[in-house]
Amino acid sequence: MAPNKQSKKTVFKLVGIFLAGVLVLLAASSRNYIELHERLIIQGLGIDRTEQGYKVSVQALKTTEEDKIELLVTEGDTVYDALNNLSLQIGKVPLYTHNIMVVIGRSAAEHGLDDVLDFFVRYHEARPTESVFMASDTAGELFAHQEDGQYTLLKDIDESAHARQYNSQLVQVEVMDVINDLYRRSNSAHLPILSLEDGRIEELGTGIFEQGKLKETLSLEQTRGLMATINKLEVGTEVVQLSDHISVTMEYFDCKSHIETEIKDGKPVFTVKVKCKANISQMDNPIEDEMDDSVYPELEKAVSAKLREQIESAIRWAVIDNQCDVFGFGNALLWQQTDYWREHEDHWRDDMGEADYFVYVDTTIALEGQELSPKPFSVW
Amino acid sequence: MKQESYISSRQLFAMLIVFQLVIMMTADTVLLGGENLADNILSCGIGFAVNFVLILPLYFLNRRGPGTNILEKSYDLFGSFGAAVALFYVIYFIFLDCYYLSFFHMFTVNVLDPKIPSWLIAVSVVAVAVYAAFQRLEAIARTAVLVLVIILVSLLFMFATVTSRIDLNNLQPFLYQGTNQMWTGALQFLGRSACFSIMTMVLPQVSGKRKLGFVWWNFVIYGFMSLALFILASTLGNYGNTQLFPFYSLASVAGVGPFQRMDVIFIGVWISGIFLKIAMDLYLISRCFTQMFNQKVGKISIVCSAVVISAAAMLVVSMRWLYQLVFSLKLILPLTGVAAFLVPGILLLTDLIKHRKGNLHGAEQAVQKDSI
Amino acid sequence: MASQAPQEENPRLSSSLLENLIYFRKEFDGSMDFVVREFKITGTDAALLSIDGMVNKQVIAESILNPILTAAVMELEPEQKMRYLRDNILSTVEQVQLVAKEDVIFRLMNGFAVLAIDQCDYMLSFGVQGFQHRSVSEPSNEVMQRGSREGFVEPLLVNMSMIRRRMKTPKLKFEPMVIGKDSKTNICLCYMRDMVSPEVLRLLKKNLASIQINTVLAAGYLSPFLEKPSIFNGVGLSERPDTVCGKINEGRVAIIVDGTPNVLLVPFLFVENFQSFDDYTTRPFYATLTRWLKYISFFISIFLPGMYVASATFHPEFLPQALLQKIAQAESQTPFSIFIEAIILHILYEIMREAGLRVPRPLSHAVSIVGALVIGDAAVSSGLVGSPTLMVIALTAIASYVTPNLYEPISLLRFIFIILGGTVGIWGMMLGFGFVLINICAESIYNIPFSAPLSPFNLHSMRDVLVRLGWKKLSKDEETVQNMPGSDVTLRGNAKGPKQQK
Repeated sequence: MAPNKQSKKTVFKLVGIFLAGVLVLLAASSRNYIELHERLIIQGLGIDRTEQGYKVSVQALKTTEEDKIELLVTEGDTVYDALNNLSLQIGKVPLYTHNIMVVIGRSAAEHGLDDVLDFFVRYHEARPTESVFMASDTAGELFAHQEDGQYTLLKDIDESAHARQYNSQLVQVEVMDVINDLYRRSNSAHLPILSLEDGRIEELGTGIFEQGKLKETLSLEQTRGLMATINKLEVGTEVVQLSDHISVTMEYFDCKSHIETEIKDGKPVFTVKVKCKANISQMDNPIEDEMDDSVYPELEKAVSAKLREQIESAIRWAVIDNQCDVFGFGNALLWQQTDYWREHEDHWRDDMGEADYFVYVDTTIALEGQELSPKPFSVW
Repeated sequence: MKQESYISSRQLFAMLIVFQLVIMMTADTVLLGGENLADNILSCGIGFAVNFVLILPLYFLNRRGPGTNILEKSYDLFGSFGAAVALFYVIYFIFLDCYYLSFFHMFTVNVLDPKIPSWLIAVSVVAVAVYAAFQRLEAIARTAVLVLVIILVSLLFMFATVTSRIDLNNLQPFLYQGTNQMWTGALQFLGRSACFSIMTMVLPQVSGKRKLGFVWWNFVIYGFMSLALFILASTLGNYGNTQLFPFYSLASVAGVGPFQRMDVIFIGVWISGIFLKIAMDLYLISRCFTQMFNQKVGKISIVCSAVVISAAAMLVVSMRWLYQLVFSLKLILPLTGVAAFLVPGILLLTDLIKHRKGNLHGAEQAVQKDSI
Repeated sequence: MASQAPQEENPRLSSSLLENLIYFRKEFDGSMDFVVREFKITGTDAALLSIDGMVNKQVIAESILNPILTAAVMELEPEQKMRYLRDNILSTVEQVQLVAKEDVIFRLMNGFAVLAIDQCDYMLSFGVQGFQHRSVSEPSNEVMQRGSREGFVEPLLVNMSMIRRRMKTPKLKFEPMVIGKDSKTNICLCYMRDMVSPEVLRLLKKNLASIQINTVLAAGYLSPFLEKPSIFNGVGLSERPDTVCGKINEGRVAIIVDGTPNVLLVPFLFVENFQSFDDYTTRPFYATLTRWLKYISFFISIFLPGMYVASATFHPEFLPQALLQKIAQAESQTPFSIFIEAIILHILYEIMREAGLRVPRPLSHAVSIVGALVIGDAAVSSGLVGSPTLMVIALTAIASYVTPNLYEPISLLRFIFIILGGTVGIWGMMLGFGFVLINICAESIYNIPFSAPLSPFNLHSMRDVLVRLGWKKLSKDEETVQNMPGSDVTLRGNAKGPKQQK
């Protein structure tokens, strides 16, 4: 290459590198990044409705001490306004990306979830996978709860809530689930309820919502029925009575449900079919009294009846009495009776109470443990 | 003119897959015309079929002159008026890059809220694209192959981690709200694709099985998009309808075990795709200017076009009426239609007519000669 | 040995011994190592010229001087005497006739002794090299577990012999050249005639012939002339004869440089940075595992510090909560931001590494203690730097040694990515990665794509890139470097055709 062209190429490269350096310097000088310890790493948000607006309780990690939580309370006209006031209050910028849970107080739930949740949909740092709970009273009360002088770590609450879910009496709901339920005309939202009882945080059941506002609550038994219907029943225990007053502790697992729909006389008919497996965990029966295999059908019938009762109770209370379709009956109509749904979706709330609901539960006992009672089979 | 390098058909279509994927992943319910993303799976089917029609003018044109690209062909047929074709493609590529960059800018500002000036990010993307454009077609094609592998592996990993969240209740029946969304989606996919325009210019430099490559490209982009839409709709449900960039939201919920918060995958995929796309377009713009003037002008045009693209993109996002115009189908669809179908079609017809006239003229001369 | 000066710059020897001696004495200007032993051969003046220290005096005495002085040379004419001595008396193996003065100087510099007889217009040179050199030992920079323990040494002939011993085929060719106006360093092109691409060879020779440099004291002096400027090396370097043999068997050209134990290998592709000789001596599954370890280490060593800085500074959402807390705690206790900490620690590490290389051996313990204490303990406990940052830098440093060939680009890129991550965040990292990728893909080494066979992709080549198949499969058909997809060179002497696509 001619020297002239070579030097031009070199100059061009140097100019390019210089410009790149200028760009980087510009970035460096104009950046307003925030150091990590200047951030408030939020772990949990509790939202209560007040007369003026919202009161938000925030539990955040202390960056100066390991495994320490600090509690901050702030108020504002909206949720975001309240959170913004927080940064003015403490001089740190909140970081929402690691928020684990949102607890909505009863007052806020009754006022409506839409106003509360818009922040979590719109704000770029909020994640849709945060767990959502409802407080039986105020969220602030739960957040202020301390054990041994320390705020109960949010993670412990979340973990224990998850653990209890495996007993299938507490639903697991994320922000995304609530948004989806609020959006769908065919569904109503539901949230697990936490309460502070005798200095301990316990689950109370499930709050059911109509058009985003708290309508009623389901008991723990009814919650199991709900979970069975919406295919969320993973594991749970139940005690049933045999005819000779023997108590048997059964463990549910592998529950699958399916809703079938048909239209009869212009009215939808829903059939909920649940298939479950169960293990015999414990039998209150003298060891020397061996039971034969005829016990199994009775046990299966008793377990099925118990679960059916729970499901029916939940449906009656939520759908028929309170017009909250938390089970997805409307969705089933959308898929299976699309034309009917298209005509009736606008007044589903009114129609759901008039529909017929049938529940069938079929339980199969899978394991009876090591003990040979009841006998697994007959020889003849 | 400097001898251009050859690339294989695999490289070309790998590049085009990257470009198509990158823009398809910016889809949201506003662009796709409705909230039932399942309908847009049908849009993919329509797009897939229509592509086989759209390619026809280019295919026959290339068959008639395998060694000439559309710019050379236009000069052959129209003389110096062929510059109009080159100019059109310059404007088209600048518009398209402005479109892509504006989207990118909107993403960074709205979804990520960067702590550095967003214009700086956009300028940096374009700067790297300029560098890549100067390295020419072969470098861009080779890089695209590597980027494609990274993109596919990352996306498939991400999809695999969200499968546990798939809930069919989040879906709606196909065409529940009518066919409007399906058609809108199909038009969006077709309108936002610059791949045909790229093919018009680089096909003569491609060796290998191009027809098979095209079929595979078509299958992969729409197959992948269908899968992505299904996963998006069934995982996020209506939540996805509330999001400006639902694919980004999908990445943010993806996770398994220690691998959580895979937003960075989306960001990485997009950046690597977008700078390559802009690089390719800048390179093609330089080809247009080289055809119109000379190589020196062609090289200068890379930098100038980059400046124009950056400035235009910043302008678009700062004015609501402008981005409403740019992001709607009113501009991009007709422009793409002209670039991908009409211009090759006109050239093909002209070539057919001229060739037939030439044959007739030659036949007449032969007859006259015989008679003499 | 190739002569290097054209005829007009290389005056012929005079037939007068005196004139020649005056000329050479003037050229050496009284340098003490230029030795002239004058004597008579049956009345005719003669002289033996040599450079003290370069020749084996015992061989000279036994094979040259003694036979001459004890020979009964009956011829009368000086030329006849010279011929007689050459054909009948002298017993050295290598004898070359010299007619030009520069050739005599060249031979002297290369350890030859030169016999001059008065009234004879040519001289005889004898290969009697006897300079001291390091014995063959294990290469320090390329340690292998299962390969040979021999490494190249400084003398070119010894290195040539090590290659010849391993490739006992007449197809192996050594072509000498001389580079360097003042140093006149001997180099040797080594290749397999039936494997090398004539086009690559031609281009390489052209490049070498056009080198304008005064001294060539190491192989690295030549590298910049053989490749285009880039972040990554397009010219390989090896200290091992077995590695060089493997490479030349794939169509590459080795350049042995006299005076340096490093041999250049051309062309050198990007994927070769991750291949080592041990890969081919261990079981395939283990070799594949270590290969992937290298790839992962490469990415860790380049990107980890930058990603760490970017995540902690701009994108804390990418970090898991437990890690975020640790980093935040550490950051709150240190005066510097994570970006500055990373820069400081890296600079400190590079200083220590450089000191470790240059420090005299007796002081090396002290340096390691100070380094370990200063960086490992005192810096953290005094609160100057955070332990997460230190961990990241340490991991990065260790990872960079997995691919020693890439240490230089890794060092540079690491800094760049830290700066990008600390100023622009993840955007800068991604764009920087894109830039590097383009840089790799745009480069061609002697018309062979530097990124081959990854891109352009060749599935068949993946048997030795992504995995390492067993020798039963690898030996079935050998791949040559010029056959890489996208290469634009001839195939083993075939006529030039269109690009080969697989």
